[in-house]
Amino acid sequence: MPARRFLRTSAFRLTLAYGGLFGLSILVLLGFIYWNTSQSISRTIDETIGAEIDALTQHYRLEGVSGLIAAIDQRTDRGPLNGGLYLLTGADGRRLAGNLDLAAATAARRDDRLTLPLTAADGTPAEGRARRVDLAGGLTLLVGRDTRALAHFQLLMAEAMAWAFFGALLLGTGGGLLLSRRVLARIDGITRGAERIMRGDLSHRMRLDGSSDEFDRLAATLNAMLDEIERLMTGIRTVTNNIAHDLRSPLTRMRTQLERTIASGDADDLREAGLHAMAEADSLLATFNALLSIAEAEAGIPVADAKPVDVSHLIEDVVDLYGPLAEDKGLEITAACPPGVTVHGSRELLFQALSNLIDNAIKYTPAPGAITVRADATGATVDLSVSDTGPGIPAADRTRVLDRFVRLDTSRSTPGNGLGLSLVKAIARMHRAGLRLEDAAPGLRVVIALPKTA
Amino acid sequence: MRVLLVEDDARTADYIVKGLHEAGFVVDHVDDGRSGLFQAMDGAYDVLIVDRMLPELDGLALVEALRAAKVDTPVLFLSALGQVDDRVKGLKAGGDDYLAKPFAFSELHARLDALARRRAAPVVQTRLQVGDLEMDLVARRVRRAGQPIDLKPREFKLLEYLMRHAGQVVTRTMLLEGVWDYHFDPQTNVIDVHISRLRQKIDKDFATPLLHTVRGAGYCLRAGA
Repeated sequence: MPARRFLRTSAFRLTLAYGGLFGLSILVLLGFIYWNTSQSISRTIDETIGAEIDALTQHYRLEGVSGLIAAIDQRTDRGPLNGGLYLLTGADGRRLAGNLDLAAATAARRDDRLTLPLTAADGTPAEGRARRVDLAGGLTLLVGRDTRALAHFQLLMAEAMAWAFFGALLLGTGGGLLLSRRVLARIDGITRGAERIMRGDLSHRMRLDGSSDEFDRLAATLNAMLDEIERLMTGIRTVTNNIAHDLRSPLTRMRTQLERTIASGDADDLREAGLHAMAEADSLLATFNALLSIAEAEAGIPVADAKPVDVSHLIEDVVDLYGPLAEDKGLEITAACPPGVTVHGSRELLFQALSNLIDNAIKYTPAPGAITVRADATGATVDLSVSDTGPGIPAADRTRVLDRFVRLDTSRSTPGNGLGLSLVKAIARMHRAGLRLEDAAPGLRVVIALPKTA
Repeated sequence: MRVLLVEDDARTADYIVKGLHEAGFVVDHVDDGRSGLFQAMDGAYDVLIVDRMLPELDGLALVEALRAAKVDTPVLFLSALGQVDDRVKGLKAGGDDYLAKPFAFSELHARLDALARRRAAPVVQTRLQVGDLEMDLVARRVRRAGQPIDLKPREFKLLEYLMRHAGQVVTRTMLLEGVWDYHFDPQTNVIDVHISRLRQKIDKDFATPLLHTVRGAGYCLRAGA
């Protein structure tokens, strides 16, 4: 991956942020240790100085000036390993004892702790902390300790900590970068897969590495989505093919007749042809309207303006409308519905659904036959059904038949656009009802199972 | 009969104006809602044809305003929206009828006639008569040339609708709406069968046929040929 693009990835930014946070924490921790240690050592030094001052003061009280000088000399004789710094000056400012030079005396102020660079009596520089005490008799005592060792130690510690800090930072960032590369690789894989699909390889699917982590889940979800898209696209292709095929026939018929008539030029023929063309156009329009209704219904829109529908009235109406037509075809049509059954929905749409079903029943049932329109509210749902004594639909075709434009081979010759059942299915969907095709033995029974109103 | 057409689509408007002219209507045409409202308010029209989608003021609002101003000229809505709830919206706004595009001109003509007629006859009638066919609305009895005719309830309703629209073309859709109260375009000839049954009863044994078929449009009940 090119460097600049890498810098913009969230993986890099996260690593940076984490590294920064980590570094900061380490810094604080180390800083705390350093400070604590320094404080502790300082305190110890001060305590030691305090203790020395007490001891020397005691000497002075008990043994006087000579005793004090002796005590100081004893300490300074032990050599520089002691680390102690002493200076005793008389009231006249003359140096009486100790290993510091006079300059220190003037530098110190009364009872002060100072950390000025001091010079030993023999000229070598010292650095330390000292406290000045005034004694009776005008004497001034300065007691201190050399802090060079401490300073050196502190420096060493600071150095070590600095190394530790940068080391940790480096390791942390390095490790983070390494890990994030793996993450980026997974994401990259998915991106490349998607690009491949967009280029046209619709059957490509994302790879899963079996770890069931978030990326695997993402890949699995994407694959499921792709499956669904593929299914829908196939569906659309099928429908478009069917539409093109099924709508071509009426248009061709219309054109042929008009062509023939124009050629003949006969006025009466023209009128006839015009009327026929209008009829064909009407049936095409009806097909398109049905398609639109189905599309709307399938968009998942529930029934707008749903009202309580009296099912027995609905069934009576529809049987009343189709009665004469059925009779003419030698079929008996009956309504079977207990009174007072209501469902929630659209009276118009439900009527249309039943109409379509009865239309089909009349079309496919041979005489003598019977059609029954029934409502059954005894179960968990209100079942509206239309059953006939016709040839029925074989179990294998029962799902296919609900798709648009499907006409079983046995019915290819009868008029119809193959949308009737699709519309019924769409209307059932809009009413959140189930749709079943059953064997009425003999014949077909189509059941719309509507939810009961509470 | 004076008609005001409020339609912004030039092609549709042309088609309608031409057709109505030929049918003998006097037609005024405006192409936006506001002018439509203006003209309707004082125009003394017999029928208004209003498109739902209009610039300036949409069809529904136009009719609502009209009704609020107590103008009760019958209104026929035209719309590319043909779903049931659009119908209901149109009727709720104060419209009297609703026709979805595309529509057959004969359908438009038939409905305009029906609307105009509705306005002209507010009187509650007890009897209807077409030629020698008489219908007693109170006693629910029908006679032709003095002879009683036995009709089933639905057949009675069908004949009543035809008689109320006597002389006008009545389309199958209008019949489905007026007699069965459902709004859609029946595919099969389910209505035709009802008509032929009715014909058997009122026309077959009599000299002159009253119930005529108008090819490509619908039916018409009239005394003349």
